[in-house]
Amino acid sequence: MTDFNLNRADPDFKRQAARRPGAEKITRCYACGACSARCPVGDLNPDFDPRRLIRLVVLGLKEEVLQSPLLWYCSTCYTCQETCPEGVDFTEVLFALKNMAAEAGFFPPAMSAQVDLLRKHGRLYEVTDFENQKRRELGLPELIEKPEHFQSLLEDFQLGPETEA
Amino acid sequence: MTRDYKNIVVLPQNFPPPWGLTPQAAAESLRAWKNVDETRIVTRWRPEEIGSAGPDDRFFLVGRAEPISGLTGSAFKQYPVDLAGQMPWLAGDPSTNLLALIKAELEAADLEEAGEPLALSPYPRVLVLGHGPAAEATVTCLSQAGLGAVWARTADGAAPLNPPLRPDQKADSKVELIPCREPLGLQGVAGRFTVRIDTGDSIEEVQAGAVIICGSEKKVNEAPEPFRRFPVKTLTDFEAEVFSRETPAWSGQGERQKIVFLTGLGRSTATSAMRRILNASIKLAAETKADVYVLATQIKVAEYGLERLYGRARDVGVAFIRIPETGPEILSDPNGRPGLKVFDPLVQGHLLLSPDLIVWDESSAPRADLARRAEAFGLFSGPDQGLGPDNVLFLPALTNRRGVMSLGPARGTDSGEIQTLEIESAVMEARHFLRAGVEPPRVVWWTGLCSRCLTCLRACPHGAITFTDRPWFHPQACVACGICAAVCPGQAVDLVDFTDAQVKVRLDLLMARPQEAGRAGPRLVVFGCRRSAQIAMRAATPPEKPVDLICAPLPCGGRLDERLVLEVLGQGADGVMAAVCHPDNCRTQKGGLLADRKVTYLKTTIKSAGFDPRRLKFFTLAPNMGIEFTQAVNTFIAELARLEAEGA
Repeated sequence: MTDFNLNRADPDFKRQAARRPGAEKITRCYACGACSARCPVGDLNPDFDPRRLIRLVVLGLKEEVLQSPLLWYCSTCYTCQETCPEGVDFTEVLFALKNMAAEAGFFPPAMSAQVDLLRKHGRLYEVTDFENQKRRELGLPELIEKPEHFQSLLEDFQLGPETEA
Repeated sequence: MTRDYKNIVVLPQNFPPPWGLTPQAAAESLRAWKNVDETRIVTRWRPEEIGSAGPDDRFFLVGRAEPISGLTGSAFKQYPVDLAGQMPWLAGDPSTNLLALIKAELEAADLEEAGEPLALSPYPRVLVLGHGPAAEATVTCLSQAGLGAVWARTADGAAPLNPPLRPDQKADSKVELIPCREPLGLQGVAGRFTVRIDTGDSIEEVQAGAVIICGSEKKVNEAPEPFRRFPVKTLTDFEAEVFSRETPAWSGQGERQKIVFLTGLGRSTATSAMRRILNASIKLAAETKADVYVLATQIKVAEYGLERLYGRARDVGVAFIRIPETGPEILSDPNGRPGLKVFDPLVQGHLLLSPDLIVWDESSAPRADLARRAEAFGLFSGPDQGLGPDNVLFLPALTNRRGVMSLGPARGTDSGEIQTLEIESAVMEARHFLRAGVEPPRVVWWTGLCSRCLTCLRACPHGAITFTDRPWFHPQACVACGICAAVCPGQAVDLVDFTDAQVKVRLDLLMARPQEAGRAGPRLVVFGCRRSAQIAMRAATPPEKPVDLICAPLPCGGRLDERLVLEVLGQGADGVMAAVCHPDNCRTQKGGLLADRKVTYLKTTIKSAGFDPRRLKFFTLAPNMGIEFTQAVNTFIAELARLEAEGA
């Protein structure tokens, strides 16, 4: 069992998070657990518990939250957001937390691999002759990769190679 | 005096009673006796058959029925009849004596209507214990209702009594005042209590029909010893600082202060204290740089505006941490700063915190005088050590002894609104016990079977049994839980409405029934409290696997009878389950505990009889726990299947 030392916690963390767009209502959480009960990711991986994540934020346990790989498990299905009786937009809260984590340098390798794919192919998988052959059989038009659009977008969002390093 | 009744409705059972009182005879007898407008006899409780009930209507129901909504108190009386149509509680000829009972009820109602004092009980007064505003308001309320009161003032000496009586109070109401250093004990049953009181000079015996306990000692100001290692302030002192115009010392700049509000040690937080804590913490979190934590056993928000305040507190960044009733663990840090350690189930870990200041809610300290009073009066104290269980089922003012009420500080309520409600309810309840109405007995006692062992007397949690040369079961104090019947070694005691014979006949029939083709699973007998398990069973979904489920309702978990459990096991039941209310929800307070003990004892017994003790299961549930009930049945079926496989 883990001990969480509140003396080393950053009580301002919840206010920092609440200043992010979408995460304003995070402090409204009264830990009813409706989000956790309906979360489909939580069904598959009990470690992923929206209520626990919010609780950690409210207690100001910044490092525990931002370093946690669990932040990135969310499938953004928005069930928690639909369910919450207090209107805590948890999916939006997670976006805010993910941004904060990335800014603090906690960006899981799987995510940077995805960014690499985007940069290289303009989509999350490479389009090869195999796919285009299948598409021809189905009478669909051929796909041509245009990664340069995404590269400029990624640069606009400062997700280019230099910020990642 | 005579009054006109619109309806006197006697409702016999559907079957003709073996005693000679036909509906027609009853109607004629009542008509001849009183100037009754209309006496109708109906055989079933159907609104269209009865018509609308007016204020002058009186209803008498002979037989068994579900409680009728909207009809309570003196307008409605029920006389129980057993399965054979007999009224074992009524001596002599039922047809004559039942009518006599009904007439006595009507007589009492007439007297009340005519403004006669309710001096029908031998002790037509209510004893009020206490010294504060709640006691004074109770005495006032009693005299306004025309009831006599004895006010035993627990404060030092007796201040001159000046209850603010209104001009509309009844002339014959009177209040007697006696000083009271300490109440020593309570004897008797509702309607006939004798209370021994140490007045300081002597020991007095006060006779009263009902007792209302209002008072408690002053609040404890000092935090419990272990917390004095921290900088501590009482909530009152802290409020004075927070809401003063001057800037308090702790609002200084520099390092962030960790301020912890601590409440609910040993007793639950009153809503009024919760309001104070929320207001102070909001002010603190919103206007200073302090980090504010509220450590509470329960966040009590069951009062107007508290939910909103709680939301606002979370908005401004107050962190709420739940602590066990024993309080947080205290750690001594080698660096000299003591810390608090609390397990937080939400983060699945311990939270460590070294507060710079603890604000101690002094109203949430256990009070020694209430523990003494509980002991003297034979009352259970609730989990918060207030008199009377801290549970909605017992609101607003009841205790485990009928006729003894507790309210205000004695119950832990500080809020004026709730106190007013409690006082009015207590006075209404007390009024009931000052009437010498004839209550039908709830218990049958068989003289030939009784060995005068007094087990029933010791077991009764309600003080409803007294003893002379035989035990007496006082209907005015009895709640018909059946604990006496369950503990009686000679089977000399039975509930009128729930006799051993009835249960046995029913169980024998069910057990002798061949298993149906579709229910080829194990045969499971569930002894369930009718206040929780029976309701949960109705809401339950069918179990996963086929099972032959036999239900034996109990009036209370405490009525669980070892003999019946052994009998059904002997008749081939695969498993027996005792399903009763949660400990805090038990309306007889000790019913669940008794059932638990009996099951534990039975496990060793059946082991020596060659059964596997795992065939016996005890669990507690609430009436809304249908799903949990099904789950429990499912796991039990699986367990029984494993036992079969083991060949046990």
